[in-house]
Amino acid sequence: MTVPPERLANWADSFSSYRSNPKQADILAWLAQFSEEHRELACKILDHVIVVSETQALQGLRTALQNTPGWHRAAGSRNGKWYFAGFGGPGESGATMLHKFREANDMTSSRWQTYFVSLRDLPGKRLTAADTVIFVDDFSGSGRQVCSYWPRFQELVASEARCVLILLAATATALDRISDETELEPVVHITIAPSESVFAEGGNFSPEDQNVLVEYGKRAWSKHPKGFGECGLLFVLSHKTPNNSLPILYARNDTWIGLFPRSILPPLT
Amino acid sequence: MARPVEDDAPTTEPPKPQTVQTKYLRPNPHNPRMLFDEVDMKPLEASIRKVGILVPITVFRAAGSKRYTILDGQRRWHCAERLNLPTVPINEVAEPSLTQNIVTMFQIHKLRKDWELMPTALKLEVLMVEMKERNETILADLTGLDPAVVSRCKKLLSFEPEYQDMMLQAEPEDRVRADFFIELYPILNDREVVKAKWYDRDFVISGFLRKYQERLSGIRSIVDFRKIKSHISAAKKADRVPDVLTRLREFLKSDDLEIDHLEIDTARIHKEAASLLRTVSKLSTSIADMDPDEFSGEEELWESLEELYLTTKNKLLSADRRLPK
Repeated sequence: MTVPPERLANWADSFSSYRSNPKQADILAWLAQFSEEHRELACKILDHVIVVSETQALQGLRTALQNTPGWHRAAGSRNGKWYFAGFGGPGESGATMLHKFREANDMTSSRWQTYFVSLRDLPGKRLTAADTVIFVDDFSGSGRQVCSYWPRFQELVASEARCVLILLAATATALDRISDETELEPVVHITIAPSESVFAEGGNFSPEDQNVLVEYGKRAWSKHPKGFGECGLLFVLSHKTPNNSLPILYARNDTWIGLFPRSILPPLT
Repeated sequence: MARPVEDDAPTTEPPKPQTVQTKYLRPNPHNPRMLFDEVDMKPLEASIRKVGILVPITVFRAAGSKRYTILDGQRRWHCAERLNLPTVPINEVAEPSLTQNIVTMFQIHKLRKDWELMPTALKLEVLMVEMKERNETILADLTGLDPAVVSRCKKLLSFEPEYQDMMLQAEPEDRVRADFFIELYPILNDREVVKAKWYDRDFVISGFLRKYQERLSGIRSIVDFRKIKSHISAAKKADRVPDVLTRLREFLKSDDLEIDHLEIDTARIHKEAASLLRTVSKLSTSIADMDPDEFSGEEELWESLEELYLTTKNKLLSADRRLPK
């Protein structure tokens, strides 16, 4: 099967905002991992992949804060104290997103420094019901991580303060779970509907296609061939592919080379 | 003639218990994560199903909040939720201050083994600053925490922010246990170790942390740090401090060296420990075999046993051992 040049060029253009910037040769090499009979299915996968660029991400974080009820840039127009913290530890995506969040919302100057805190700082802030803590993260696919982290965060907030979770993107399922199981108010820029999963009933991919994709998924990540949480997403953020997306997109091992690897450097031995 | 006092007494209705919708209550955020034991909850749930909640739940409404925060009675509330009771009886009290809230929660809910210590330490620090109090005994009395726990919390607070962050990692796999820092503390702050020319706090912490996380140099668990400390102590008693400090530095720099590289005078310690162990074992058997009725008149014996109990307890506490339940 030959891929029309225009189609190949469109993909390369759409995917260029991903940090590893896959070129046409990389795309062809990825397609070559599929047998001839499945190559059109692989092309269909690529047609449906969404890559959120850096610019879109920054705009999304700006919009999310603007949409957060009660937020005003002018301190006099706000109620209580406001703090921002990354959701997760220093090595997690929350810390990265917090940095982007500051940039997106023009809060990089020293004037805003005291608004940005670490988890360790929270008990000492003596928060009350009038105050707000905004946690920032990039993505939630199943809501599992947010819900499992929440009790610890709640213990550190240790008060009646309102807790908001700003996410660049999340599935509707994750948002429901977060709302049910935590006291976080999610504010999301991109909500991914259940129908956008590759494995959605009546979706873009037939049951036969889905079975084929699971088989290839097993080569990419045998433990989670449909992606973590069986989310089956085709969603890529410019800085990292969520592991809730299909592993054929990002896994890198002896049996598979993904187009959007989660790490652009090989692991250190 | 003066009217009886009772005639002037205002007639007021006795206060009626207040009820609110169950969904308008929330747990106290100062409460450490409560992992309610399913077995414990069943009798309470059965009782509430039969007769309702008899003891109102103590709540307060924080300024600016639309909900009532539970001060006491969280288990009753959980049962009410599970039973889909539409309302619960409450006893509303004034909003406590931050300090009062933290102290109350520590006292109501004694430290459970599933608490993680760093969040507790941070809240204890808030109390210490608010009340300008650092004395462990006073803090223990105030909070209801065991003095040993207060001591452990203070040790954790002595570590730099980057190390505190390691204990707060949300993902359990990434989190460094508080026990590591607690067991490292006596080595890190040993008077002789600190005086070593090569001593650098970050060098020592990062060296031990790496060995602990990667299971190097024979370090398999945090208990191994007690062996290291005991080697340092034995060397001090044998007047061989410079030797052990040199070996400690070598140990930190090399992954090929094991803990026994630090042994200098352990033969004597082992011999003394073996002898003491035999004595303790014999004494323990004798005490277990005693018939209290037979010896009820031996006041001096009982007083000695009480003294032995206190001595043993204090020795265990000074060694930072958890007291057996």
